[in-house]
Amino acid sequence: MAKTYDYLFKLLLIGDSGVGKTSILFRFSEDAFNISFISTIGIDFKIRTIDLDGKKVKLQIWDTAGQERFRTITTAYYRGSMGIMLVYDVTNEKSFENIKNWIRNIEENASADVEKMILGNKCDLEAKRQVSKERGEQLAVEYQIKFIETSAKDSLNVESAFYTLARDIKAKMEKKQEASNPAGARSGAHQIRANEQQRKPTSWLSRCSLL
Amino acid sequence: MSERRGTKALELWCKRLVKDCPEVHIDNMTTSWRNGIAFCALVHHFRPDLIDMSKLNPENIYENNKLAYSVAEKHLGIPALLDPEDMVENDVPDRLSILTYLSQFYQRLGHTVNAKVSESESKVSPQTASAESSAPIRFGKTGLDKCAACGLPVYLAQRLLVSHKLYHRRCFRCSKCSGHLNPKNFEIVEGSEFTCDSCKNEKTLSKYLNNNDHDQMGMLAFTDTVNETKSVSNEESVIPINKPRPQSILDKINMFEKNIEKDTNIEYKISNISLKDNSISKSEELSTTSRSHCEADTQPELISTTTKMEDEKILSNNIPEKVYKSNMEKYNFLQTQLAEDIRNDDNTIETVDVIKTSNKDKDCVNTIDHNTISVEDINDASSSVHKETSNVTDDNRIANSSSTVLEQHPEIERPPEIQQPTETLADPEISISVPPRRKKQNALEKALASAMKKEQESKLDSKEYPDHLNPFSDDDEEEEVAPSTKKVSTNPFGSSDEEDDDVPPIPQAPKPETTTPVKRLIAVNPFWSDGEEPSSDEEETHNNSSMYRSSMATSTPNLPGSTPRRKKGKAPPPPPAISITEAPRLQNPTLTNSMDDVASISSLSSYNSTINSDQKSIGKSTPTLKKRRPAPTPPDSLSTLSGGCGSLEKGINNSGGRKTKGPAPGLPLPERREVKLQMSPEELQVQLDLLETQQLGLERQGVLIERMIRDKCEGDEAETVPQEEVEDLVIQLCELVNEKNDLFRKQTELMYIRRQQRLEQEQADIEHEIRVIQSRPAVNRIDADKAREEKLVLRLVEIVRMRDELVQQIDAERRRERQEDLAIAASIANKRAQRNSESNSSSMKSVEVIPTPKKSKVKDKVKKQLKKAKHTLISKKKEDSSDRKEEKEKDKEKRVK
Repeated sequence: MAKTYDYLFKLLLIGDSGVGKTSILFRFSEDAFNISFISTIGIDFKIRTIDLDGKKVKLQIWDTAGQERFRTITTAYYRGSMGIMLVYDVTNEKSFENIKNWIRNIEENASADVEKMILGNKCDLEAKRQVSKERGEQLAVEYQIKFIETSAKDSLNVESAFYTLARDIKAKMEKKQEASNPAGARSGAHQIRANEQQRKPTSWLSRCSLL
Repeated sequence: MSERRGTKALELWCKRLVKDCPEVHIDNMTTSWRNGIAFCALVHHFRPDLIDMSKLNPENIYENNKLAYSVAEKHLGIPALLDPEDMVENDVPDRLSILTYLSQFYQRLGHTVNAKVSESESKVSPQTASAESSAPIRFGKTGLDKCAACGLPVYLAQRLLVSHKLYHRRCFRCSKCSGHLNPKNFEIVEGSEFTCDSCKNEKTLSKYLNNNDHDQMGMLAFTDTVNETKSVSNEESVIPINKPRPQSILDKINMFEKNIEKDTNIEYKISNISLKDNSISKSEELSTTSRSHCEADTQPELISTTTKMEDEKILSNNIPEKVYKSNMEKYNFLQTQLAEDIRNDDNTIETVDVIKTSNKDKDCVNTIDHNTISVEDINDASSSVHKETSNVTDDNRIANSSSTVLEQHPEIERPPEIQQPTETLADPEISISVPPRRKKQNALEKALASAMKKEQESKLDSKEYPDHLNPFSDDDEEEEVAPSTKKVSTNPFGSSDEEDDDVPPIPQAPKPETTTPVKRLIAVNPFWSDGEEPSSDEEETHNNSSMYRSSMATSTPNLPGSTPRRKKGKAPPPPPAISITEAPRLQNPTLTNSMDDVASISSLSSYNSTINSDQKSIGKSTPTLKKRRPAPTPPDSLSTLSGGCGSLEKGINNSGGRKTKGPAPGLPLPERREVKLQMSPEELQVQLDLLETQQLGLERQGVLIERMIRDKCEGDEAETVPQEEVEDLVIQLCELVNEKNDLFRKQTELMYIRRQQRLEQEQADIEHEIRVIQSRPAVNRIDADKAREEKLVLRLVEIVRMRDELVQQIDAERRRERQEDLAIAASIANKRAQRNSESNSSSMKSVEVIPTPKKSKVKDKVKKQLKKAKHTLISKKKEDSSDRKEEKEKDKEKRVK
């Protein structure tokens, strides 16, 4: 099978109903925006492959329903996630207050070392803003998580948010790999990488003649 | 000796690999492998973690072999060609089979092995080679195993082992749609049949229950399942083959009424040979026409919720027969059209073939043609033709299934089969399929028109297909079909004029639905010119149909990308009277901040727009309405309104080309999400067909080669046949099998994509259905609705889970391949280290324990030194095979990058 990617990361979008999770995902995966509010039913995911430092990273981004009635369904998907985005609406104070509840949710259901990020969406609606940027940043500092204000409508910071999260996950993963492998192998790996291009052609070609 | 270079080399290679297992001795390519320990050792060499050699008992022949084959298949990606039972039964296993199977190992994994030949080994080998050269190679005569599906002998090139049963690769197909199955994507249903993923989905779709998901995705050769028998259909399909092509189409039409499956076999067999695209397009035509007709039949959506259940029951009884009959008519007619077209195309067959296929394919096609015309030559040819016809059925099914939504299958398949209970079928079909089908149908029509190479499709569309059979051309046909529903549908809307309904009854189809809100929203649309607003007078007169028509007429020109819609309006958009009466109620929306009530918001927005559009017509009430509008509605609904503009317009643009049917809606039904397809179903089908043809060709060649080998070895002149020829044939066969495996893998990929797309379509459908239910006012919702909604939500989650599984599976395969590549990298690094160390030391101790890349060049030289006599034939073969290997390696390189 054609190897089209190097990593597969599973991301999760959580947050109150109506904050813009699906819009963010829609913007990221299809670069489109739909202003009408269509509540997500249960759960859904979209895939997009990005390039991170020369590696192809396939992102499987899960979009959860914010509504309470789907809570049990969505909670089941916390466990497998490598990165979770907590989304709130800057024009909705309540959604911002609920972030801490969502964080608690994560602590209860997701794996311990999951990468997190807080997104303040709808930052284009300045006139209706209820949560200032500083407050958002403060909350993020409190929980030691990264924070970005985004606008799915204006396509602001959506890409960078996902790229940042993916990069963090990749860095964490590589750190883990290095920790598990002895340092010698790493240098060997470097050697391999350096020489692979040269060696491979000859080895492939030379393998032809047996039969 | 040089003539055994190929097989001998393979044996040597295997010997080297199992060196680290002391209890394993490989002396030959037959009995040494019988107890399975050698195979296990081979696998152990590559993945020591998977097989524990110490636990193996040489006496457990069956278990050892089974373990080795299953592990190799699952983790190393080597298709299981051998059957453990064969090993048990035969004292001397079939050498050819073993060679072929091992060659797969070599082809997949050979590059990771240390190719260095120690001097000691090299000294040993010529002795053994010379010792064996005296005796001719004997391939143990094992009767060719029979296929569990059709009972015919299975040659090596065609082998497919699934769950302990041997099949022809082509016999392994879905029992419902006869689509080809891949060991990765089939499903055991009800204990004795195989179904493909889509048919399984279709089944669950109709019942909305979670099936027993037996290892839905990753079914491999060794699982506990039961086989199916398909001898009947295959035998029947043989009959028409003997007839010349063009006439058989007419014959098909006649036979269609008797046995529809048979007909599709024939017709699509022919089309498969030379007119793949055409046939696909035509089958899609058929499916679209049949679908459209079914749409006409399934109109209960129109009915208000209270009457929906009753009507469904009524219609469900009527519809399937009608569908069937109408389908038959259409199919027959289509067949005649096809017959003419195909006759015209006969002249272009050759050119088409040349254009479409590679050299190999051309050979395949030619051989296929040859076989079709004169079947009597070879027995096997006839059996392969058997498979060919059955294969065509697959293509037909695949064509049908890929081009349609999952729910479509029942329409096409069940009318022919009629055996299935139709009520359950009709029920979900009616409720689910109607809205999305239109959109897809039109999208599909568009795709058909644009993507197809031949022009006949368009001809068929416009000219040859008579109007009276054209489902789009007349309202009467559909009205006749379901008059009762229409009448009922008009009533609720009419009555709702006076009722206190926030929302008019749910419209029948999305197309009329979306047009109406657009009409209403047009007033808000800056591009809409005021003069073309729907005239208030007509609306006020409550003249439903005319109002709709007029509004349609006025609205269409302004819609970018909209196409002329049929004026079938029965229920109009809410007239201003409604809006006036209901305007006061706007002040008390209960839905302001509850985001959950999407429907209300959207309905509110629609009413806002209605009010907007009717501002001018409603004189005095306008200002008050205007004022009221912003106040009661929350900011969200305002944004929803303007967003609804955009989204609905977009929806219209997307669905441009669709023709409306049925009464116009009153409420903007939530639009169905368009699914972005990575590869259009047609293209997918074309590629799958191409792969299928290629595999067929290779299989045919493999069959011939195997026969030749066996004849040469077992015939009377066995003694006199030069062994080199046999060797060459063996080499050829191995290569063929390996190539076929590659194609098989590509096919798996495509099937993944296809399955993904199907699931996404289904998901969009169900979502839409759920939203339709949700958009109904809470007052009107009945328990059945709620229960249905629950069921749909569960189904939705299930589909998402299946999509996830697909992703996981693809990832698992990728990871496995990556492991292999890492093994290569590691072995390369080791080799380098080894070389470095060897440059220091002069000893030629081979380091076989550590897998290192083969120094094939060195080995070549050694081999050349060992073998003095070299036949030109052999050397030629070597060049050929090395060329092919080079190509494969280049491919692999590309894949790696």
